[in-house]
Order: sequence, then C-alpha cells, then structure tokens
Amino acid sequence: MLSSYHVQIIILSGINVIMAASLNLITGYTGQLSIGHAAFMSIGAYASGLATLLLGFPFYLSLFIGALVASAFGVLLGLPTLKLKGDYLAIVTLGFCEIVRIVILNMDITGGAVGLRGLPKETDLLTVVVCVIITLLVLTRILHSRVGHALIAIREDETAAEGMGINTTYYKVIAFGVGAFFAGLGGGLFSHFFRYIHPNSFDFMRSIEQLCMVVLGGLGNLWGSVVGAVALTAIPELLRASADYRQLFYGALLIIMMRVRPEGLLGTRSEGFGIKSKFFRYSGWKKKGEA
Amino acid sequence: MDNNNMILQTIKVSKYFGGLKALDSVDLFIRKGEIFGLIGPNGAGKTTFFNLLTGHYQPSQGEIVFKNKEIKGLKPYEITALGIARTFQNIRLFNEMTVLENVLIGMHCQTKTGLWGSILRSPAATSEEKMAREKCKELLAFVGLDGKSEEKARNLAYGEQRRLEIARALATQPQLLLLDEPAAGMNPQETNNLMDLIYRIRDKGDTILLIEHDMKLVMGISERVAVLDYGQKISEGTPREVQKDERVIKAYLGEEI
Repeated sequence: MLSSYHVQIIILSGINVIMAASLNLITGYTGQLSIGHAAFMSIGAYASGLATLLLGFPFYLSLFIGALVASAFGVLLGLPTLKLKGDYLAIVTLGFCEIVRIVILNMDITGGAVGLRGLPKETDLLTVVVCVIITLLVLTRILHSRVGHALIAIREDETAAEGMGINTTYYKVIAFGVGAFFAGLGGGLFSHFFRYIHPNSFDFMRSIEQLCMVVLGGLGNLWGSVVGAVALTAIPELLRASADYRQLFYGALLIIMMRVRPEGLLGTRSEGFGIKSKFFRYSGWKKKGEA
Repeated sequence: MDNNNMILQTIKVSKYFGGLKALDSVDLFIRKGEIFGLIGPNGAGKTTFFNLLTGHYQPSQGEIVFKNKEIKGLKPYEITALGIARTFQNIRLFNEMTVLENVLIGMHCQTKTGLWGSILRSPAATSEEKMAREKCKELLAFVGLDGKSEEKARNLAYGEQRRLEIARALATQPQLLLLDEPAAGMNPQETNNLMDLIYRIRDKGDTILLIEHDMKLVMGISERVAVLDYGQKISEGTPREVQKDERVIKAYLGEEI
C-alpha cells in the first residue's frame, strides 16, 4: 500500500494539476498571460475554509462555494482589465495577486498574519482524483466546443477573431471566470488538506511555480499541464536535500525552457504562442530568418 | 436614389490620426449585388476605409449606413453579426488551427452553443456542431480547399491561405464582403481562379467591395470603381470612365511636365 507520504505527494500533485490546467486555459489557450493565478487559489482556499469553519457547511459544499467565490473574482478582475494586452495584463494580474495577499493578511475574519487554523482534514485521495477528472473533463469539453474555438482564436489573432464576430471581451472574461473557478477548487482542496492556511502560502512565487508547470508541460496542451504539474511536484520532493534552491530551480527552468523548447514537453508549436516574446524582449533570441 | 437597392452608404466619412487626414469626407454608396472596386495609390486611405466599415476604427466624422442602419459606434463583432465580413491585406488566419477550424470560427455568429451547452455536451450543441462542420466543408469545397481541411492553416500555400480567408469570411454569411487586396502576391493563374471565385460569390447574391492593385483584375471584374487619393475620393464610375479621368491618371502617374 501507499505510505501516507506518497499519498500526500499524489494529493499535492492532483491539486497542482488542477491549478496548472486552469491556468493553461487562461494563458495557454486564450493567450492572456497571467502571473497571479495563486490569488484565485487563495480566495478559494479562504472562502471554502471560512464556509466550513464559520458557517459549518459540509466539505463538498464548501469546496463549491470556494470555487464560486474565486470565479466571481475572476470575472470581477476580468471586466475592467481585459482591454489590456500582454505585459500590461501580466502586471495587473501580478498586482491583483499581491493585493489579495495583503488584504487577507490584514483582515480579522481570515485570521490575518496568524493564518486560518483548525480546519478539518477532509481532502482525501479519492476527492482529489475525482476533482482532477472533473476539471480535465470540463476543460476538454470547453476547449473542443464553439467556446473553446473562440478562446483559441483570440490567442491566435485577436483582431481577426473580432472580425469573425467573436466578442473578445466576453470570451476573455469567460476564460478568467472558468480558470478562477478551478483555481478556487484547488485552493479549497489545499486548505482542507493542510488544515492551516496563511496568506503567504499564495504569494507571487506560487503563481510563478504554477506558470512553470504550464510552460514545462506545454502552453495550450492540457495533458502537458498534467505532466508539468506532476513533475514539478514530485521532483522537488526527490531533491529535498536541496530544497533551499527550489526557487532558483524554477527561474532556471523557465529560462531554459524558453530557450530550448518554448513549446513545452508536450507542445507542438515552435514559438510557444508568443509567450516567449511576452516574457523576454531580447532580439538575440529570435530565430534565424526572422526580421 | 432607391433606398432598397442600396446596401452601404457612407456620408462625409472622415478619419483623422492627429493632424493627418487619412480620410476626408468620403461619400460612397454601394448597390446590392454589385462588385465595387476601390483603388488608389499606396497610403490613399483604402484600408483605413475598410477599418471604418468593419468597426476596427471609429470615424472622426460622418455616417456609415448599412442596410438602412447607422453602424457607427458598433464593435467589429456586432458589425460582423449584421452582415459585413472582411479579409485582411496581410493575411490574418488562425495559424495553429486547422483549415476547417478556421472556417468554424467564421460560423461563430451563426451558432449559439454557450458555456453550459459545451460543458454538458447537450444534444443541441452536438447537432449544431455537426451542422456547422458540414457547412464549413461545403464552403471549403466552394473555394477549392476540400481535402485540406485537417491541415494547419500555416502550412497552406500563399494562394490557398488567401482563399481560406475568403472561406472564413463567407462562413459569417455576409451580405457585404470586403476583400482587401485578395490578389496580392498571386501569380496570373491564381488571379484568374480568384476572379472566377469572386464572380461565383456575387452570383450567390453577395455584394463585394474590393480593394486591389492588380488593375487587370479590378477593372475587369468591377461594375463600378472609386478612386481614393490622399484620403479624398477623386473619381467614381465605371472602369472605363475612371480610366479616362484626368485626375486619376495624375494621381497614379503624376503631372505632365
């Protein structure tokens, strides 16, 4: 049988798969660079945690509430900011992530800097597996539908997409709403697994970690996100001894992936959907023959 | 003029970029079912005019009336839904998507499946998807791209990409089709095929507004032609009339010394 240590790693992998897949919808498929995905996780973790603690809701209802609240914030963030493109949007998502962290840090109801404690341990292996399956199933269905095609068209060419009758603002809000929903779900699973959450658990570095998973697996490839999330959860566990260098590792990984294989492990597109150029404006990296 | 016969009218449409008058009081009307050519030297404002019609730019002054409805201020996607579709001067396909998917995107306004429909994969969504794919295949056959439907758009040859753009625009079921230099970069054989395709689109009942530098094409195919120069309409009429117009000759060739 699996030891509890292995179960923990599998559960963490599952949560990260949900996070990476939902971020992939926003960044990989719709092409909206978000570096604040942890904010939605945080909102989901706190909302579901508070629903359990204060309102005494059963676990599954709390999970759903957390996801719903996160989704509402995704839409809320989406509406005013989605006219922004590329770098500007990235900066807003980064700012949003920090604002959420600081607001939670300074609220009484969330426990502030002490964190939220005393949550029941509800998240088990089965729940996580079911949630992962639901996430992947829903995302796959969306992506293979009229809605998904509209999202991908926005990534490919926003002007042309609009010219084909796609209300780009509406679909970007959908991407953020759905992405945030599943990020909130991941957050709820997270809080009911560790039984304790702190605002700093969902800081900028976590957002970057999630982005790393997506980029490693492949932008615009859902199975890539599964591979990326599992790899980036399991590998640091194997390298426990050098845990201090984890963040260094993520930074290096991002750079190496962009340089060597921008399409990710499972991706097919050579340019990584232009995310490379969104990150690095260094002309020396342009391919030969490019102007 | 008979209003029922007119599909598009611009009234003193102007577009300024800062101090630059890209378009200056352009009056134009296009009749239902005609092929209308818009020509002029580079930088005359032809593409700007297209961008105004499709809502990608907003006019600084003037009115644009499509099917007796003022469309100034509408977003591009709203205008597409009303029945104006376009192709782009520099091809703008969804490169990573297949040829069929590109045309499917054009069907966006003709289909309705929303978020819930796609998540639950409702019977309505499934049958709509099937219907849309059938329609797209017909359109691909119409422009001569059948057999290429599963290829990525980026892998098509240049002339094929131009035809795919037309198929994608046709998928929106436009009444007015704007073609921005469709023959650019085509060889004579491809241009002939294109001419044939444009006639077939017109025979289906669509109206076509065409920007083109290939004079053989535009003069051969258009029923009426307007000439822009420095943002102003300097001439309008049948190809024959326009070709004889002093001002047109001057705009293209310069003045006699």
